[in-house]
Amino acid sequence: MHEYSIALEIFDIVNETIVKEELSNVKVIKLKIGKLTAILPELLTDAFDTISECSDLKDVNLEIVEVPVRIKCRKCGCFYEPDELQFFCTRCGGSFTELVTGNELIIESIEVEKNGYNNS
Amino acid sequence: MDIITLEKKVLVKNDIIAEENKALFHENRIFTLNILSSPGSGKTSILERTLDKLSDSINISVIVGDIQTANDAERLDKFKASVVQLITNGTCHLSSKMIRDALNKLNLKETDLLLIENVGNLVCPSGFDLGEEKRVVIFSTTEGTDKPLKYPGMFYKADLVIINKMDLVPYTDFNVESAIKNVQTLNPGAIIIKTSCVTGEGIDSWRKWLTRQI
Repeated sequence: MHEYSIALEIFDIVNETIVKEELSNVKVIKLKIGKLTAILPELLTDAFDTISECSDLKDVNLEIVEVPVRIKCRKCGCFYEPDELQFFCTRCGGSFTELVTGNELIIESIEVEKNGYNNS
Repeated sequence: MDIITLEKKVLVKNDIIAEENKALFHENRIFTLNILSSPGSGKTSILERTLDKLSDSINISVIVGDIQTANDAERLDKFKASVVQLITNGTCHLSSKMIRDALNKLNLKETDLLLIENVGNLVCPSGFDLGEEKRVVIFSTTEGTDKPLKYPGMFYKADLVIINKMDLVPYTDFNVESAIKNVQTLNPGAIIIKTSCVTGEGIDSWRKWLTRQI
């Protein structure tokens, strides 16, 4: 996966939020990344560090929560988390299944130092 | 520390433009298909066989995405279809913004079917909604029986899967039945068509599927 362009999108969104919410001293960006996206957290972190090097976000840490693939069987009602993706229910073998989690690519939150708001 | 909750999709900007593209397609009654595959699986050959028979009776526009060269667009230029070549200069996928820019070069009112030949890549394009109605994923018999299992993020989203280069099966250890099971494991509802651009196998079925979508 192209971690560099994803890191760039994260950088832009956070910068826009900083301007809009009049924030300063961002310390952490929390991300939720599903396993199906094939994004490697280490590479994403490296890419973000490169992009943010000469900016106000240069000391920001990325905290990445990897979300497992979770599938719901609509036939028997069970949920399962296969190691390898498979849409035939592991309990009843049915194919009436749907992906519940595993494809996320979300900025969950940003953490700023207390009083990390610009004085207006 | 103060926590500001965003719950914002990283690709939100792409998704917003994809929705705008989709609205344009609906407004102009265009069926749009995103064609995805690894490099060399035969996307452009299948498009050639498609335009050869259909471009006289259906108004078709094609957007072709490649990292470099306009070779694929040139191959399609000889048919009666509008072709726009997008050269990404390194970006490994098409984005909804690239499609929106390409739409400015097409006559949408005179288009019934828009075929988007994405950059050859089974990973990155899967995350980028272009505003398409459906997705077809192509892999070929020279890529291995377990190819789908290696790229679940791509295959589970396909509406149609094409297994191409069926003429080469006798020369490989490709197991057709197992390959079909592998696709179904990831995507029980996907329609699967086996094709060969050399013998013509399955090409009529593919064209029929396509025509039914319009």
